[in-house]
Amino acid sequence: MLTFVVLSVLMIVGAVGVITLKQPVHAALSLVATLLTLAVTYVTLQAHFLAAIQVIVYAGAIMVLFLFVIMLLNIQGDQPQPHFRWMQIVAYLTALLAAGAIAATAFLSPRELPNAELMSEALAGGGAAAIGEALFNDFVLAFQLVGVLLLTGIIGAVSLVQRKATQTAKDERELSGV
Amino acid sequence: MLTLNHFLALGAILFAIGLYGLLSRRNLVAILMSVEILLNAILVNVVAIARFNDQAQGDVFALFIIAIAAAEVAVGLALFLNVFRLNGVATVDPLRRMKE
Amino acid sequence: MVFSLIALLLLALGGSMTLLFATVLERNPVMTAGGGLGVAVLALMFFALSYEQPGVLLGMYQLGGLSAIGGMILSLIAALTILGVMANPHKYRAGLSEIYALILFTALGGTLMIGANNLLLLYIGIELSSYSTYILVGYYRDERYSTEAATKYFVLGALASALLLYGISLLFGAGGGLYYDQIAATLAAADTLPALLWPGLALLLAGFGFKLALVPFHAWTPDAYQGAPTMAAALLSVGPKAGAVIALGNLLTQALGLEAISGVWQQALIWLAVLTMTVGNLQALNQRNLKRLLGYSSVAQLGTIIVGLAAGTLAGFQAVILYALGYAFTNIGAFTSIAALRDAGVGEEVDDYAGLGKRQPQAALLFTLFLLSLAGVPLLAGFAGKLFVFKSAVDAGLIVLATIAVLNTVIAYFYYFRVIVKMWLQPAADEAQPVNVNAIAMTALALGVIGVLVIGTFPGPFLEAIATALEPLGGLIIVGR
Repeated sequence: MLTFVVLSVLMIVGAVGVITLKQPVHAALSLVATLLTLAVTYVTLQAHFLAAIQVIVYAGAIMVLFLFVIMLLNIQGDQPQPHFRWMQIVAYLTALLAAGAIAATAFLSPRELPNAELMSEALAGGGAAAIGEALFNDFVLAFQLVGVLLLTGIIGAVSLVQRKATQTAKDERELSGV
Repeated sequence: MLTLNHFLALGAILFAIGLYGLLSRRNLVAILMSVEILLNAILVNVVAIARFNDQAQGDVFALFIIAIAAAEVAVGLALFLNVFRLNGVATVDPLRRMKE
Repeated sequence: MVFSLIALLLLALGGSMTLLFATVLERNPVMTAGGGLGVAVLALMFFALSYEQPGVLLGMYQLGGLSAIGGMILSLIAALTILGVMANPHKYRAGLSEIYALILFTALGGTLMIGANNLLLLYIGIELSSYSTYILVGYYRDERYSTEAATKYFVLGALASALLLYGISLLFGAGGGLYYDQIAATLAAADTLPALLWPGLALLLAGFGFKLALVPFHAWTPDAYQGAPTMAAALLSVGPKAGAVIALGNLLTQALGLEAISGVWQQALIWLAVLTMTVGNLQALNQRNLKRLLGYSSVAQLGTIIVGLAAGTLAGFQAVILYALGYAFTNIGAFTSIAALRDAGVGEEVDDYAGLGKRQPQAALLFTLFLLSLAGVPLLAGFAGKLFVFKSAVDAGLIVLATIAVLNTVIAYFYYFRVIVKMWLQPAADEAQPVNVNAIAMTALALGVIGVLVIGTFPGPFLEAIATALEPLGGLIIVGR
């Protein structure tokens, strides 16, 4: 229980940091804190493999992408004030409403919960072997199709950012001083 | 005693924070980071539910969410690079041209 | 089994292969476009062949029947869009075949949503078609409008995905699994419905609402349509939406068809439908840009489709699918007309269309037919769809909803006829020259009109085929209210 409270507080502080810190780099580091805390939470839930993936893929690869773009764009801090005052009020209300509604419903009907033995029994499900078993048997079709999805991501990155061939050639000429 | 509801409440709070960030930030990269918070709120839910339901399904689902998030970030950042290239800033401010 | 597998592989691998072959074919625009078109048409044929072969692919994807029909509609949409792109390939970075791969992936995503029997595959399908369309909307990377449209669409799309996924995660908790039948069984066995179900359902509907551009989740639509390359807007207006609306029907009836739950989602859909139709039509009334006008019109059209789902009957679902098919032909046709006329030098404002009946009678006639079909004039596809949707609502006892829907159709007549009157009865502005529309574009338009006329005149066989496909769902759908 204590672990959970500490982890949640860290996670929420990190998340609040992401949406309030002016410097994008600070926000990104704050997000890393949230992601890493979440990885630890996975461990408390016996999902060890997912915790590793969370650190490697999320806190690792995805965040590097973020930092890379932040550095590339040399983004300065933006004013946290949104353009329209009403937009901020709407944002507050929506967020509060959503949190309230969902949390209220979550507490309305407390669920019969597994005890410690069940938790440790579930340990088998959190390992790489169990996940691999499920991934390549029950979910193999989804696994293949996520490949197509990632290919779409690659196509998007390439076709949106790639510059015209002529323009690239021109830039190269300029760079080489010809 | 730690219950599933604790995790669901944590997920709800994180989701609300992400939602606020998404609606109020002007910097596009910060908006995308808010989306990541939303996805992590969902991951809290999924992993906790999976554990309390004792199912491998949920873990695999979480794995897929992480993979799909990676593709989303790639597409989003590519778009935002374009916004930056065309407007000189990567915020929502210049994106008001069509509103006449 | 074999045929569906071939069709799916065609969309997935064919899409990837067009990327490879573009290099082999030295970026010959005609060859790459032909390749993309060939893949779409072949997929359409194999989906048709798989219609009578039900089964389950790798435990996740329903074959035959409904998913075959969904696959056919989506492949058709892809084929028509590619034909529209072929009319002026240079506008879409000709030799590069990304655009064909993205169109095929959009179709694949839609097909997966429709055939999915679990929430994970549903989500992957939705994301696949969303990501492909994000890229297509921003395809003109050097144009500010296109990038602006794509950014708005992306940010709201990401929000929609998050809402949807949150709903899915709660549904996973309430239903004890990801599979539709598992969820249905858990809920049916429960003494009291789990409280998690309700926020889950609400978030799910909100997520789908964004993807389908239902009011109040439609803010991104007009900008995305106006800024997108015209053929991307065409695909965006039908591809992901036809997929998502059928998938929503499938999910609601198969996983959440229990009477205590269906009453709630029916009520929600009724309100969404009323709001969407009314707001969409009223906002379309004073639009000056044609693509924006069609954007609001598509919002209103989706509202009308939702009426069929709100009816909650087999007949309603049947009408929804027929409507989606007719809408695919009609809306792609309308957008292709705009794209073709734009290539020929006609602007995209309503005023630019003045006197078009004299300058380019054939294209103007075909465009008029598409607009009439959108408005819902008898003997055209739009009318057949509307008729059966309204009939299903009346049969389900939703008289008020049906009345509002009919009144909305009347409002819609104003803005469709405004364009038609402009084209035929008003003189051209100045030095009006005849306009040349190229042959491929005319072929695409003619094919669209043939589809519109066939579905509008003989909807019977289509309805029968859809009814047969829906039969296995019969037991799960609640009939009447």
